Amino acid sequence: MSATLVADNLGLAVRGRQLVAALGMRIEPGQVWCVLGPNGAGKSTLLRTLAGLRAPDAGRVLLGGRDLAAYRPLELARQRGFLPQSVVDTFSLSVMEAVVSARHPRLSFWAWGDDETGNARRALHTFELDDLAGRDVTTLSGGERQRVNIATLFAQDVDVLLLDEPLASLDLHHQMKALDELVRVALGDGRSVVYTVHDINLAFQHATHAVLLDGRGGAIAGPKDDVVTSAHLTAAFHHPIHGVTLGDELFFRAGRLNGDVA
Amino acid sequence: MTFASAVRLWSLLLVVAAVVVGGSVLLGGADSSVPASWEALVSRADTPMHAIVWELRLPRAVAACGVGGLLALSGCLMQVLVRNPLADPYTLGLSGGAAVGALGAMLAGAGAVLVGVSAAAGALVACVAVFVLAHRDLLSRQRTAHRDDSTDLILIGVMLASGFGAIVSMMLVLAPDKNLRGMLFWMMGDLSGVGSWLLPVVSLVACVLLVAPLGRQLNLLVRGEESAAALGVRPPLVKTAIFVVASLATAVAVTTAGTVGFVGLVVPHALRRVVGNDQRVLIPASAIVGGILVVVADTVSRVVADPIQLPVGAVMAVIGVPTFMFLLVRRR
Repeated sequence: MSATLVADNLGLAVRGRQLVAALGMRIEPGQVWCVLGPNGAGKSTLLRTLAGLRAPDAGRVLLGGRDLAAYRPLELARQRGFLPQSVVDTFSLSVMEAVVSARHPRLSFWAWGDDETGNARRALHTFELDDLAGRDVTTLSGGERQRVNIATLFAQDVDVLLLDEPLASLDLHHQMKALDELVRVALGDGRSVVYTVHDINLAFQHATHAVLLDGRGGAIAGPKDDVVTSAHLTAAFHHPIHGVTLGDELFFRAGRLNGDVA
Repeated sequence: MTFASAVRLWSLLLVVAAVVVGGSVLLGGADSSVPASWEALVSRADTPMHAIVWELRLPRAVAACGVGGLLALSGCLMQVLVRNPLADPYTLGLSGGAAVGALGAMLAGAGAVLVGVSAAAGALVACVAVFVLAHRDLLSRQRTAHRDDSTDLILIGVMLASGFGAIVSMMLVLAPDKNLRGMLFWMMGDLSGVGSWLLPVVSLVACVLLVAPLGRQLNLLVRGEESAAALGVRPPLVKTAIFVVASLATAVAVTTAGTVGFVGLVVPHALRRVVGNDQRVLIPASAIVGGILVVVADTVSRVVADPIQLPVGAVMAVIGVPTFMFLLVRRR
């Protein structure tokens, strides 16, 4: 029952400033999309719009052929999950409680809700958090907390995963681990994944498709090889970015500001 | 915590509450011994003691229990609403609004009923003012991503409270001497002249039944509106619901007992340390423990300086102020 997420002629504007003029994209099951672009280009806004957490400023977003606005929030929460850029906890709760809370959309209104911990335990195990299950989330380090948030999203068990900066504050091992898991659930389980990221190379290695925003209305979406090119990146980021082939792999590096020789 | 252990906890607390109410009924000033009170409680003889126990102490204890529960529940809900452990009806200026309403009515020479009604109206006006000023987006769907407006809310509450405080001082200065004592006692919380003593308890039960099923959604809301919305909660709807319940609960409490501060702050905070921050468990537990605390405080205020009755609000403040300071300092 995996569903296709479609952005149809999508326009995004924040405080009267147009970020995206008309974006068309089809996110099919089994695809991994990365969203690239400079600061303030509208990456988070795009993700939140795709998640149905804000209304599009133009066009529409369809999940399984149905406009997101026509979904009941609970119904939507059983199909798509969203990882916010940051979750700030002002009150203590245990890691296990945080992860189990993602089961909310699957429970009936009157259910108490502590019966189903299988998913949560698996998600904790995936992100090497078994030992932290009983810890208070407010005492965790930034990276540990981010892993808990990603595990929470996995425990939600949805077909469409939208992640805003999932790699923020993760160490290298856990960055690779998180990306690997995202690719696995997409290619292996036939889910679809969309994430924003700043590291172009990590994105390029762990994505099938890409969206590149320039923050002035321009947006390019498609298979990554068509979108992530030196010319497109240089134009979008306002900075010379060159492709370098190392072994068989294509890498991108930004030119130095004072007389680069690449 | 599983449902079974939550039920065990609530039952235990209910038993304690019953014992405390019983104790409060039996304890009195120096001229009434516990055995004499007990005899009056169980016998049907129409003695003066019988009247004291059945017509003064019991209604007062039951009303205190209801008021405490309502204030604790309201504090608990407001803390969820603004995601800040310092929120409660007192710190957000609701009690100040109620005081302006009630004292205004007293100045105008209104009777007890009208004083109660205008206290409730004052609390609701303050409530609306706080939230309209701080949460302009309470009902809107569009909101900016990571806005943290809980500091705004507390500051607005504090400013409103001092504004109301100024109005209250002016009223006190202008008031004729014969009204002064009643006004002062109202402001410091007073359960001695309780009118409809069942109203607080009935409202408390109604509020708990209304809010308790939302526990799981409140748990999600506490962690942030955006992630809650992504998990299928409708934040504007749930927030409006708990806002209305919290304001009405405060209004009923204030109408019954005047200004009793800090219950909404101390009780949820202390309970969180014991049972954790699971709203499903915490909200009913707070309601019961709030009742217990105010019954104890009221009994102390009644007995400790007999024959003088201390205002229950003052006794609560002695407990509440250090707790508030501790909370503030520890948050750094």
